[in-house]
Amino acid sequence: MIHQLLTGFGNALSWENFLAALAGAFIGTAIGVLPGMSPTVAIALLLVPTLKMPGESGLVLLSAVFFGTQYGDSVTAILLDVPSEPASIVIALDGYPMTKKGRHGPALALAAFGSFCGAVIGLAGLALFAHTFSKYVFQFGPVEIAALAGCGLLILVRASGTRLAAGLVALGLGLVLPTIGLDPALGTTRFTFGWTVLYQGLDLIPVALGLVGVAELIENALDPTRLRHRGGKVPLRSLVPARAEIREAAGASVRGGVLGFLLGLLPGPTLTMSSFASYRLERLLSRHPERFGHGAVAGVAGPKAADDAAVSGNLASLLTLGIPFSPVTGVLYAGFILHGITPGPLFIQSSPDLFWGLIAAMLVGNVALLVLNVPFISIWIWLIRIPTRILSVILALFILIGSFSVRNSQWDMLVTLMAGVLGVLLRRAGIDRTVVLVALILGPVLEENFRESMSASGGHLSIFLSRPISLVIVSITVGILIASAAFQILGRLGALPRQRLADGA
Amino acid sequence: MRKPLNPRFQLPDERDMTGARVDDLPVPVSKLVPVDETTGRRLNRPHGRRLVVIAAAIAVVLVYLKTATEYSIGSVTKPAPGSYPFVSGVILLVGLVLMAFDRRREPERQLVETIPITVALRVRRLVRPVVLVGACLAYILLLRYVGDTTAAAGLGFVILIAFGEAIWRAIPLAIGIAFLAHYLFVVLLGVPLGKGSTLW
Repeated sequence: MIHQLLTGFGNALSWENFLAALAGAFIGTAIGVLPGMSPTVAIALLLVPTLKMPGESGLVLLSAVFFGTQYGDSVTAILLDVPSEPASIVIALDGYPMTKKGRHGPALALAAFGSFCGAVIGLAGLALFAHTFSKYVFQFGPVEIAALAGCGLLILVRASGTRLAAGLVALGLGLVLPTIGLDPALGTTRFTFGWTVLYQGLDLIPVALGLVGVAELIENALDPTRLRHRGGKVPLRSLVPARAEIREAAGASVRGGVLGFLLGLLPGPTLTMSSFASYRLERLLSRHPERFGHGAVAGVAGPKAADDAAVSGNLASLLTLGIPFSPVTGVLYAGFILHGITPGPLFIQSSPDLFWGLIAAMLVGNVALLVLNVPFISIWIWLIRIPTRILSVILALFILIGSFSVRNSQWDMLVTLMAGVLGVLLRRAGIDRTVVLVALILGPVLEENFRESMSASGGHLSIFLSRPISLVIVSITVGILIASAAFQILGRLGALPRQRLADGA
Repeated sequence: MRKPLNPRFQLPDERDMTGARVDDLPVPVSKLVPVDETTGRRLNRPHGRRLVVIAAAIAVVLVYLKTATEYSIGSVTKPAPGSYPFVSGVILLVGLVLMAFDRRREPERQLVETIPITVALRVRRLVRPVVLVGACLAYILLLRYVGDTTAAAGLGFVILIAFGEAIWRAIPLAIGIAFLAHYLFVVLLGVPLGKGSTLW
């Protein structure tokens, strides 16, 4: 593994890939600090521009954008208390109080430090996972993939944190949308109603750009007070944290990194889950839990590390299994396909140079994030100050053209607009759009592989329990679902006496 | 401090009964609900509205399920083209039905229930998003007739005005952004955007 990684560093340090990593980290952060811009939208917008680049460099840039956007979002969360992504809400809980105390410099520096630690731990985990997984690569067939996709969807509904009804609606909607177009097994048309434009089905990118990007634009238009805050100046000298703060942040970052990577392996909104889990863990372990919510350093560094490590966990399922478990890896998957590379079980075997080169380049990109982005903090603050109205025009145009450019289709622009309106309705109804997007990605994978499994087994469902890997997947899923239900019931039983006590009964 | 809205686009009923401007309200406008000023009762109760939306969604899903059955359903062990859409539709239907019976409200809605706000003020909130969506739709439909730069400048101008930008600043800004987008996407990246691009 070490030898392969060293070869990967050789590739990553070629000037094209090195520049791509630097540019990706920089552009990603610049997009991430813009209100309402998520990694999903950032990568979707940059897909077409990277087609002009060599395949490997394009993918390095997109992966670096992923990490960069994550860091950029934490800048707005810390300085303005305006997180674009749910994962950054946790960082704002203690980052913004630090800003109010005038400690925004150390908060930004420690977030960058946590982000770097999380990324390094996550990438080490990804390398280890991929190395181990490559031994079992040929045992992964349609049965295992169908089991993984189906079980992933079940965990997703539980993990989304919304009510069961909202989870089912999100799942159902995500499964229904990709049924428009051609049937994956027989090639017959479904739900096209004679419209040739629907034969190709709904592409992920226009739907993702609409559900996330356009929906945010509409929300900003509905309530411009959301983005009324503006950042102050951050002199470079103020970024240096105290020694005690570095010590506190280091421990939190390591714990957050490990936790984040493990949670990132699961399907769904794992970036958010990992941030929240790390925050709770840090508060639990802290000698001064009362400081949390009032500017605790561990409350910034830990969740930031978990967030970035979860990115690597997300990438693990994409690169090794070829199954994107989150909207952003779904868009990244589309990027791989556009560059003529299919991630999946055979990817590590057939293109080891590219795989290890990509991991090494992501590490280089994270070093670039740490070295370049903290001194560039003034540029990020300048970007935050762009008036909402100008930003809305630029983003509306970029999102629409980005949607058009995937298939050169005006129909996709209309799909983006319709998905945007749908996204606002879903958000208002408390339905998690992440679940819709993940189901949209996993649905066709499930259908195709389930039908192949049934065809190969002669219609025996027992095949999912008779093959060792699928049995393990099913068992783990059942375990997770039972444990989650048990925790919920215990939580309710515990809450009842507390409620009665509070009511004075 | 946020710039005041363009006076041309301020509606006379932008103020609520207490005389407060929409921007001076103690909570974000999105959290406010309309209340009848004479009786103090909530107008257009959210759950009733939600039921109407859910009923419409259920009707669409039923049509979807009916169409799915026309593709041959097959069975669990012998899936046919209609089986996966049918199962997906059933999951969506169950979710919608459960949602219709779920009457728990979001906690923040209950907190702001008592703040009086006129229906007109709520309608006022919708002007910006409707203009935004309308401008985007016009851009998509006009693209093939007037070219990307003109369509983009039009989109920019309309959104800027709706967001309160003065006309003398909106015109150069919209033209500048349109040329920037044209240079970036059409000239540098070669996206075939513009006159003659087909709608479907």
